[in-house]
Amino acid sequence: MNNEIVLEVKNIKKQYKTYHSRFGEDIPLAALRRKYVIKKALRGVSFNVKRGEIVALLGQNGSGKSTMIKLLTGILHPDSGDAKVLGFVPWKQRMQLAERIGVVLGAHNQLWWNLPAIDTFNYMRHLYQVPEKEFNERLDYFVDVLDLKDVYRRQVRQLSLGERMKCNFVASILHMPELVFLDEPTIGVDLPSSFALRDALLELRKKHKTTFLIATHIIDDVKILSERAVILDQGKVVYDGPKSKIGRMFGNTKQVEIYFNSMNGMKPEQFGTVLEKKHLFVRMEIPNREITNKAFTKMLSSENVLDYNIAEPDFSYVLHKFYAKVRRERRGVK
Amino acid sequence: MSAKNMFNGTASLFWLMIKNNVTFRSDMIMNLLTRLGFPFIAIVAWIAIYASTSSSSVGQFTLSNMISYYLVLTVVEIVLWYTNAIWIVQDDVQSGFIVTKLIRPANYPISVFAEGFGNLAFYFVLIGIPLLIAITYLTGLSVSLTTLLLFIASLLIALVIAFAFQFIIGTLAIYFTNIGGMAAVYFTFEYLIGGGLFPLTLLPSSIGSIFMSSPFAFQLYFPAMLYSGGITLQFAMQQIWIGVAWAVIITAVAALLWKVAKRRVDAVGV
Repeated sequence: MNNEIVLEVKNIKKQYKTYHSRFGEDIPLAALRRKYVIKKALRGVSFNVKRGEIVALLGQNGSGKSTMIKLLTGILHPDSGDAKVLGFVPWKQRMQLAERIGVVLGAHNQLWWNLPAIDTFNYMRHLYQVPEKEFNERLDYFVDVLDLKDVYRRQVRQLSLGERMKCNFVASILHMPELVFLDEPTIGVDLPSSFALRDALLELRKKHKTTFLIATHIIDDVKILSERAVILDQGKVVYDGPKSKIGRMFGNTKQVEIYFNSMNGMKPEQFGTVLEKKHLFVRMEIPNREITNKAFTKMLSSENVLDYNIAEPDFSYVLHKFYAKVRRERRGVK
Repeated sequence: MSAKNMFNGTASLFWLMIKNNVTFRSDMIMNLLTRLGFPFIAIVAWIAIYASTSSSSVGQFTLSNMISYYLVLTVVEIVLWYTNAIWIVQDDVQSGFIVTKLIRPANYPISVFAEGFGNLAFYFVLIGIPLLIAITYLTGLSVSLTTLLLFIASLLIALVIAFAFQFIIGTLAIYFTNIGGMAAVYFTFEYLIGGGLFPLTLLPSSIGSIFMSSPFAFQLYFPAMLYSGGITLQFAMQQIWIGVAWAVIITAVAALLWKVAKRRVDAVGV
């Protein structure tokens, strides 16, 4: 990976004017009364992405992830701030930028509903001027990797959500973009296909130095694909750095799973925080220093312990703790 | 984006829309019947009107002229009816599909035009051209090459005006979300002022001349009168420039509105 910055965001702000109507009340005409509210979607967001990086854009619902992606692809205009994507100002040079980026929007179908996906692929080939030979090679590759052989010639309306998602992905990437924005790319995709999809992304990055910005709630996407995370909360960047460092913000801990034969005389809670306890199974968070504690190692080697597993904390758990911390800070609670 | 890329993308989208139409065979047949049903009702009504009067003509129209006018009008209406820009843009805005169109290296108004043009070209070939040939032979219209060329030009003007008007109303969906009411008002104006209900020469000359100079008249009345022989070629050649001027003005308004409105695309939560 070189240090060339392909995406640069500086103090972007965006707000929407929306309204609350009184739908759902007994008097239908009450719906005519509207109360306008301003929703601040982005409140001065700044970050950079280097060529070849895979960056996870994380945050809770409504944190501004999708708005950020729509701004960076030129769909939305910001209220203030600057951004350069591959040297283009997205909202001013949308069409030039669109030729060099790919966008996968999990919540949006971009295939023609009544036609087979191959028709949309062909449209993309013409739109992006992909030579026929290259188009066929790429299509064969994706059809094979994503198991689309019996799928892409069927009417899109007849496909399952996962099949449509895979076809959407292919449609977005057939022109081999330099930078790909993915918003919930594996939503509804079955396990083998989501692994295949991630493998395809990693291979693209390896072969072509493709850069990816992924907004997702699916932890496996983050765990497998990205090294760096940018976390948004209420339209602000609350974390930008290596994914691994998020866990360290909460102290150096390990997650320990213990399967007991019997709980007689066993008091695992004295070594850390119990996260889950079911009959003879306990999952705990234990400070690193306690791992080498003699009493703890003695417990693990006792006859009452059938098996155990010590691992780094699960990323979903770390993220959950991070979001909880952010919420507490927002409320002014330590 | 190069002009070649834009042309290839637009042409591909045009063919995609034709394929899309072929998918629905029953809808295709229903469209055929509906299109032919409209003039049939109007013609029956005019036969009744002529039967109830002692005169053989109403205004400058004999019954035969009137039937020719309505039959040609049916062909012209295909251009307006299937342009579809209002509903394409409204659906894009309401469903959030506009987002997936804006991520492509394609000009959005031109894409909408290509979709609409794909639709109307399909139905024009399926219904319009055979009907036009049938009308010409059955009613004994003498159509010179100049008339035919002027008629084609007038259809193109009608198409541009209709598309631009429809795109303007469709784009208002970005502000108002649902523009069904505005569309109804527009279609009523188009039909009444454009000469869809009756030929505009039947109106008092003061009102008729205003209506005839309006952009709506160039969508229906002018092409229909031109082909059915209701106006002289000399007059048509003078008038066609007014139509071109309207097409340019309304397209400019549509382009300006899109330039402003695209900044308002919010697609919140989609």
